[in-house]
Amino acid sequence: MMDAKEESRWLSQAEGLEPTGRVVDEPARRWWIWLVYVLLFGASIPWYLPQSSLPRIWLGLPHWVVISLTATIGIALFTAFVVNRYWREAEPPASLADKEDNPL
Amino acid sequence: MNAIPFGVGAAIFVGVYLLAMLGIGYLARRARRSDSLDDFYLAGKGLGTFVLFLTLYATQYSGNALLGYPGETYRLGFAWIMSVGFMMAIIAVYLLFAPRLHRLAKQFNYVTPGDWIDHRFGSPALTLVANLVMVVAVSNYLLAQLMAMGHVVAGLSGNAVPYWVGVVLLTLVIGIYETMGGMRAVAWTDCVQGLMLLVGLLGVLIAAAPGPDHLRAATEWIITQQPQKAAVPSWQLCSTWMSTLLLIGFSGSVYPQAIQRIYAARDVPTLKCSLSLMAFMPLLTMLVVFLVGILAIQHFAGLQGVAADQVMPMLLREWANQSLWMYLIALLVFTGILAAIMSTADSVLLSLSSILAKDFVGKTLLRHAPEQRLTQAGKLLSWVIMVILITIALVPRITLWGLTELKMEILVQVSPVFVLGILWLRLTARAALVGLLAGSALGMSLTLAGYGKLWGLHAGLLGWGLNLVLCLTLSYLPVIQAKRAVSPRPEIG
Repeated sequence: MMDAKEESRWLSQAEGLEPTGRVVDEPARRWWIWLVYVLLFGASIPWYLPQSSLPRIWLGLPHWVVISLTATIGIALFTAFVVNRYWREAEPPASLADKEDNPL
Repeated sequence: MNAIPFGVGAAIFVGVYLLAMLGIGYLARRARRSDSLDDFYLAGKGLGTFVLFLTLYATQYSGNALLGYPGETYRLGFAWIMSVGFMMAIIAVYLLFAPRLHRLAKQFNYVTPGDWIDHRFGSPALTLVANLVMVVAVSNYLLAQLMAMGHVVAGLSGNAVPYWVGVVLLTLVIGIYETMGGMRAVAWTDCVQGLMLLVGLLGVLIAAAPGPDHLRAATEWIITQQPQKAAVPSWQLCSTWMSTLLLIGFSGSVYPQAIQRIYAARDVPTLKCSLSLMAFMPLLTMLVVFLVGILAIQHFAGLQGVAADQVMPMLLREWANQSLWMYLIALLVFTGILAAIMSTADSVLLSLSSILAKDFVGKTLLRHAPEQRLTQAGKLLSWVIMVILITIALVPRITLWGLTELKMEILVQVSPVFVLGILWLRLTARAALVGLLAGSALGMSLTLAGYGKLWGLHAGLLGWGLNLVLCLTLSYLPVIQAKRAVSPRPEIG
């Protein structure tokens, strides 16, 4: 079994704590991000449109396809926004610094 | 399949491509830093943005995206626009667990997905079952890729290159460059293959690009002649749409090869940048393929059932016969398809060999062996896997082909171990194990009993629901809670 020090380190990493105790920011910590995802993915499925009417043509496609596609473009833009705005991490441990000059 | 009039020039083109893959494998071998598992299977956890993005892209989009999805669009109609969303769902699910998993992998030197499970839960039984589920799922996936390589080469060459030559030759090429360079070779070749896939898609776009009037005319034709393919989807279809988003989102994100790419990212900015770019790739990839399928509904009207899978080969033949320029585009698309299949196959093979070498052989036969020995065992196991799968691929009567349909149904059952295990420290090993077993049993038995979907929901998703309920409820039971394991092994890696 691991000792208390390693267990503490593991829990800190798992919970997103920096060595200083400051919480690392990440998407999983913000509930509203997942609410927005549910709304966007929900909007991409045309369950809310009347099924009896003939589709109208927008931009050469049935209107419900354009609506679905718009929601999907929203998902891509929102994902890029979330990744860049709400995923911030501590500096990597010093032992990994030598990887920085890797040419890959 | 429809033969394309490819001549000597095309054979030379493909030959140069295969030699280039071997050359990259040699360069990757020269770039290795040690014979450690970390260096061979994760490129020393040093993949930069460009390589990580392209290897994620090439691995996630198999040949099925270019070959199979136009046929799906042809059969289902406009509702196949769901394919753009389900590829994005994979990236959204990554955001739930990838930040913490990447951090932990760096800190505790994980190599295989099993390292995380072992470390988090400290339960050999859970690690074993989760590994078995992943091995079964990706073995079938790899077999499907090998068979696809043979079918594509034989079919599109009009059997000038027989099926078995396609399977054996291309698998050999993959095996050689992978044994030489491990993850570096796979990731570097993925870069070339990912670019070739993009060029192939560009070729499709140029050759089949609809003007606004062309697309409108095709849509009007479909609304008039086959209205069910353009109608607003029924509640049942919307239910399947939602089920597909969840099933693909949660299973696609826990493919072992995907997990290992999270480990292999050089640092957080690299992973962030790659995932940001990946969020837009379904629009560039699936949307193009979707439009091809839509145009084919009118262009090749009357195809029934599996004949719709021939849409892309039929288009390639048509283009190749039009002019030299269109012949070149058809050749680019063909090699793009080949590259997409090979880039998925090599990643799956490497991942499979790492699990078998480290999590199975490394814990039994070579329990106290040094890492160098395990790396050698992994290389040997890659060849054993290839020989077994080639044998199965060459004797269709004993194929596990039918089981490939179960891939997502069972792989999704592993996702709570990763996603919930990362987010919720209360999740116990026993609850995760019971959930995994019960979810897999329900999903597989319903599928095998002929109930692939109930109320529009995939059997695997119903199993996944049961899995989640068991994970949540059993983790709260006092007797199990007392034994909950945040009790990692003392050493990892």
